[in-house]
Amino acid sequence: MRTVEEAMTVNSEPKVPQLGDPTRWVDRYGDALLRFALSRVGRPEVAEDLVQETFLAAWKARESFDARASFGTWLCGILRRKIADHYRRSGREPLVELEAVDTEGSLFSKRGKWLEGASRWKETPEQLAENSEFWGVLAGCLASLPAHLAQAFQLRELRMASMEEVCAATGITPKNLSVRLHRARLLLRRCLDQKWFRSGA
Amino acid sequence: MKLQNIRMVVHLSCEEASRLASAALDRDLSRSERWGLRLHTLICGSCRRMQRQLDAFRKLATSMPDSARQQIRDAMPHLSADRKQQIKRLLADTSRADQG
Repeated sequence: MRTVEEAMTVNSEPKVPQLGDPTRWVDRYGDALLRFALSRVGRPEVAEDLVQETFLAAWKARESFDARASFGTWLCGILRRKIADHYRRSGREPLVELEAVDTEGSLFSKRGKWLEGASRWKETPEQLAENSEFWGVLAGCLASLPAHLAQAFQLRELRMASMEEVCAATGITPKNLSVRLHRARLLLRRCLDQKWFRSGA
Repeated sequence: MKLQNIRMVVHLSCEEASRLASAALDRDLSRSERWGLRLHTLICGSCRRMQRQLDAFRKLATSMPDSARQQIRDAMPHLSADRKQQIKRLLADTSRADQG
């Protein structure tokens, strides 16, 4: 399992002065930046705009890139500031905006009882893990979760060491994380129930 | 155990039980939390099943093959090709303007 530090450094990362062709930054870091932005900001169009602004700002500030840090982390820092600016401008609260995209609905009644039953899992985890079709379904379910919930699950369970992990590492409180993991796990379970276990695949 | 803890142990809802079962994957539960969860799952079949399946998630994740990692990466959000082009064009224009 890679350490966070190893994950931070993409192979042959640009160092000053050879920052290289800025258009290649988009290929190398664009998706990771987008996923981090999505986990912080409700709407995809806003997330994409913030990523675009980040690249432009990075180009303008390229002289100030300190070669001691990793380039990915530096881009992250710019994106974080852009996200903070976004919230200041819009006057919205980050958590409220994220909750607005969590439209998956309630799993429990007002009295805390389950709203839906869940099927039994006939296969063992080991059997499921060997099945690539199952992972395809799980990947789809993860992708359908609100980004901040998928991110929490990926970081905690799948150890998908990536730049997002570095960005996110100092982002949320343990209590916050606990709430997100709880919701992510139950929503994933429900999605798998619908798409895998119930359909008798 | 304190009186309020005993009360909690007896009155857990399924939602609260699920919160504890999830938390147990990430930290040690307190004694009253453990008892509360245990008692609830003794009498609630739905939550027994939920707890088993949450534990199974943990096992799944640790036995995940590399091909699965790739599948998950591929399904994650990406910048569209158009959007990438747009950003690259903007960067190219800006860098040209700087040099010009």
